[in-house]
Amino acid sequence: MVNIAIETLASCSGCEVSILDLHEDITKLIEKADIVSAPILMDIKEIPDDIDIAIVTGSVRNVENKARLEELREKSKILIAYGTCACFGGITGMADLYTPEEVNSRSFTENPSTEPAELPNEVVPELLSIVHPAADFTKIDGFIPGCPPKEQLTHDILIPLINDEAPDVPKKSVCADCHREMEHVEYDKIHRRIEGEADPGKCFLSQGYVCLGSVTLGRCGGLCTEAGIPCHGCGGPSLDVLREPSHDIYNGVIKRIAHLSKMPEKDVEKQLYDIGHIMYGFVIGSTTMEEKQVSLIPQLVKK
Amino acid sequence: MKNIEIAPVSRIEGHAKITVQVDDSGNVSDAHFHVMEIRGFEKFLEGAAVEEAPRITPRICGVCQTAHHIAAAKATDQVFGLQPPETAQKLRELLLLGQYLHSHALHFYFLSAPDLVMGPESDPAMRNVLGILKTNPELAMTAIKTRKIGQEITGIVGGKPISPVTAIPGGQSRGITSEQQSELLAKAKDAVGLVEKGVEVAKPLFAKYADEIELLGSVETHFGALTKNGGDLAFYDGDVKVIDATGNSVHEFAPESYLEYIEEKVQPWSYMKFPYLKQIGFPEGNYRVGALARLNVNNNIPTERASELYAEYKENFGMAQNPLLYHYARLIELMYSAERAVQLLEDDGITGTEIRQKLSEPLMTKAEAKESS
Repeated sequence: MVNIAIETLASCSGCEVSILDLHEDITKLIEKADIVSAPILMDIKEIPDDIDIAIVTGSVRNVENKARLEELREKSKILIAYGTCACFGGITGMADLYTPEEVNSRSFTENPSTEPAELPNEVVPELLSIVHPAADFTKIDGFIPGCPPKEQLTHDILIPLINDEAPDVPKKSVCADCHREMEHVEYDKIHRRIEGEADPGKCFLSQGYVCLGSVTLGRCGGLCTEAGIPCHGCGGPSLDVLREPSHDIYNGVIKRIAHLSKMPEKDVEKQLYDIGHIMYGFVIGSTTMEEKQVSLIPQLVKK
Repeated sequence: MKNIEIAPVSRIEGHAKITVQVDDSGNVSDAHFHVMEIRGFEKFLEGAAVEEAPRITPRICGVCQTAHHIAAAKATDQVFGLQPPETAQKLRELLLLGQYLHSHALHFYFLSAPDLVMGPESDPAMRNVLGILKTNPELAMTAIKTRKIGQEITGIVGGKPISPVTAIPGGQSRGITSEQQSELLAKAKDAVGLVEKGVEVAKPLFAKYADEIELLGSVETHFGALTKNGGDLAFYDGDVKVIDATGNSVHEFAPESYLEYIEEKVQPWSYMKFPYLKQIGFPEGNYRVGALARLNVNNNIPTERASELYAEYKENFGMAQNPLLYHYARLIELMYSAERAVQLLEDDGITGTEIRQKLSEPLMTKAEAKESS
């Protein structure tokens, strides 16, 4: 039997729920695998030895997350960063848009429902000064991004892995999953997502709405654009963005809006709004994304 | 003095540690529940375009993401002065029921039932949902199928099962077709049957552990919950009602007024703050929410079978205070969720096409906003 461990760091547990969303197919998982540790599901308190495949979810936000991650690495043969937080820092990374003092103050000191108090410091683990993905501290053998990874993706990767087979991994961006039609439409205004009403058959970029589908890793089924909502990049950067030093989420979206609308890139840049949350929201914590020379993350992050 | 540590607390969502202080005569002198995590959503949402809040807040929790999504959407309705049309409200209620089906099934079957089904003295290595899968696969399948129906409802009405997207300022971004209505109606009816199976398994367990229910964690508190029509169980909309330990109404207010009634206490040993009733003070103003509270605060469940179960439950327990009764209350709500989903889906109004009130005027740019203030 293959020994699997699931460890949850600074996570919302959506990734764990996505594994449970295998539903009846969970039996395919446990036919060949023993889940030897998963605090959300079972009462094993100590990380056991001899783990074959360890799945870590969530970002590294505090010293306890870091310690558990490092212990997990020592005790496992294969360590997989599962979910956009573990791979890229995820939405937790938005905290880096502010200083730690500002973040703590908002909860404990300057808060309309709370009498001012110090940041709790007894028993609770100390926060790291910035958010980190798992690979900042340990060697990671595989990355499965997604917020959370769609159950189909989980099915197509975890089950082969357990059976020692090569998994079928996504290679294209969200655009490959999306059914909307790209059109060249001359326009000169970018809309906020609440303005106007988008045509359900046309590409959002063709209509002046910011959509990150072209720079986001696909295999999510393009469910958001199908539901009438532009992609916000929760699947993490596309392989193209990850591999090419000059390709970034920000300049990628600008180029595509410019190309479809005939707007000069400079004008597109002037109109883009809320770059921290909308463009880089899921990857602010990512060292890979920050270190790109074309990245705006260094300007956004307060360290 | 001895300090016993239980870490991590397992079979919960999130990170916690329990410490128990034992005095020299071997008696428990104190105990603490430490929440070991904080990510700072209250701060990092600042500066975001507010219509992004329904996309960002679901990442607070991967189990109840839909509730965050809808709460954020309702807040943006108010920010923009928009009123979702009736069909949108029905769709949002249905979306929320999808979450309750998944989340209550997850909580009861996957997280809590192992203690009741395998027994509190059983081997910890087996006392979990995987142990139930091995020893009682039929019960495990009932659990999995119930949860799955919830996720399917969320997926169709919300766009995707985890962190749905369709609730937007002013309504919904997408409605459902009559084909989807039929498909979901069949599943909701299945869910009613599945929950009934769960109730058949659970009731004898509650009887078996009646003493534990009575003794474990016994405490008396206030309760707060949404209420509608003078006492109907409500998930999507309503007023907040707070009662004291004997059932007397202490507050009733519109949700937007929460700051006048609720304050939070910081303790140095937990990242999570402790809400309490402002006008009563801490700790006397501590109150509980959730399934136990909803069934205490309200007096009517407007669906047939859930109402029967509720009457039985009220007759046995009256004003329920014991924490283990949360599990029983949760099962009753699970039945309500399935039945209410059937009601909503039997109504052809659910396929209406008026699903959004749009902005009536364009938004100002930052420069224009500065100039106007």
